[in-house]
Amino acid sequence: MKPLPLNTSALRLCAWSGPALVILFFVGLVPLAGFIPPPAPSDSAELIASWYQEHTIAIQIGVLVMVTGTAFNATFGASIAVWTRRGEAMPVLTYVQLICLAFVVVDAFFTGMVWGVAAFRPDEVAADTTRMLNDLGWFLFLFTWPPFTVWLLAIGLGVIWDKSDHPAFPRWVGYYNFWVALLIVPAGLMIFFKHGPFGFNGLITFWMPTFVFFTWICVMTYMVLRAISAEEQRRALPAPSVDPQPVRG
Amino acid sequence: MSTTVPPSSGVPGGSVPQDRLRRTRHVPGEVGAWVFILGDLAAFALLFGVWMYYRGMEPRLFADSQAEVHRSFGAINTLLLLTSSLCVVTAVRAVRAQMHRLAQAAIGLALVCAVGFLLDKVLEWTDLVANGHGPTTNNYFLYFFVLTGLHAFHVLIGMGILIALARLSGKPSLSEGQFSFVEGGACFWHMVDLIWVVLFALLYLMH
Repeated sequence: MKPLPLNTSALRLCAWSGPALVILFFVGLVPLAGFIPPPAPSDSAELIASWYQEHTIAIQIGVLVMVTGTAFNATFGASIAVWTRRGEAMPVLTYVQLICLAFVVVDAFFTGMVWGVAAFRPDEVAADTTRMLNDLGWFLFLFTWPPFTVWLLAIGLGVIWDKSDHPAFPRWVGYYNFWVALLIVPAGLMIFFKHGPFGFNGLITFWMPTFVFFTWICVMTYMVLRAISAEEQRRALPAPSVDPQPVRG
Repeated sequence: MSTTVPPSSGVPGGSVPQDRLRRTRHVPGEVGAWVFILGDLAAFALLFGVWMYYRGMEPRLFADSQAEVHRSFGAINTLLLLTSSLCVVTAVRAVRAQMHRLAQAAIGLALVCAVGFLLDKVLEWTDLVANGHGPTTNNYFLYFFVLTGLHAFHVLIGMGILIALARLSGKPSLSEGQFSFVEGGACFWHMVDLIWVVLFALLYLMH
């Protein structure tokens, strides 16, 4: 059977959804909703509630923009999985990526949605209800690291164990994925802390994992786009003859 | 190092060009693995910075709390990890020399040291908590438990890698990629050791 021609438009579209996700996420959360830098876990219920009451519309618009981007986790994740799939005879690592990715989409969406619920009627509910929803949003954002870590490990192992003749990614990309997988682990420590670098607004639990993860999306987009170009060039070359003539003296 | 050809040897051009020398230099493990190792070191550097920052905020409390920690637990652990690193170096050299039994024995010994490290750690933690110095006591003990906990997590990862190395080093011959993995895994273990040595100095010794 003749292989289908490569649809690089679909591949590129999915790859570019990564930066789109990053832009929508940060436009929604930084200038609009004002969620970054995050509120402190030690803030009183009254402070959190009044913050939601005073910025209701801005937070509503911000989280709407943010959740719009969350579906792009699916397209972006697929743009990576399609390449590690090529290097596996029985694509177990690719399946792991896709299953974790399904969680990532739901989790990212619920993060925004829970903040949206907090901003839905902050004038009518008790202050500690608003704070609980705010806390829940930050738990959904940070405490959910395990499926993210497994997703990244599955990509990393897929890159390292790529047995195809033309691996899509250089091997350092695999180790880079392991590194990102490891650096988002401390996010889980947020459950213990209401102050300092391990709280949900802290250096080690928030800033480091967030920075590392979102730059990872940009780096992987670039590597996927490079892989697409390389595959295009490879397919443009004439197929090597099956039985090359040995070169004689 | 001393591969420069003496000018009297009659070789045209006299000495080996610098770039040729550089090319023969050997990076242990895969270059890509260093992305992970150096990246992880960078993350720990950040954690050391956090420690120094909070120590600077409460120097008296940190000094008084440090006096409550038994240095011998930390010193024993330093000895154990340094010994394990020596074993791993021996193992890599043994793999290179095709001495598979020696390599496996050395990695086995390194693993015994690692288990000893974790046992010592658990004893130390339970002793501290039993004496009323839990993670919630003050900032010193908070960061003490977080930093030693994150490091112990790395020891666990490292033990997984050492088990993989032990299996690989039993093979009659290794491919280039497998040998690279042995070297890279050994480097990871040395990194775990290095981080501990810095932690030991910061948490137990620094006045």
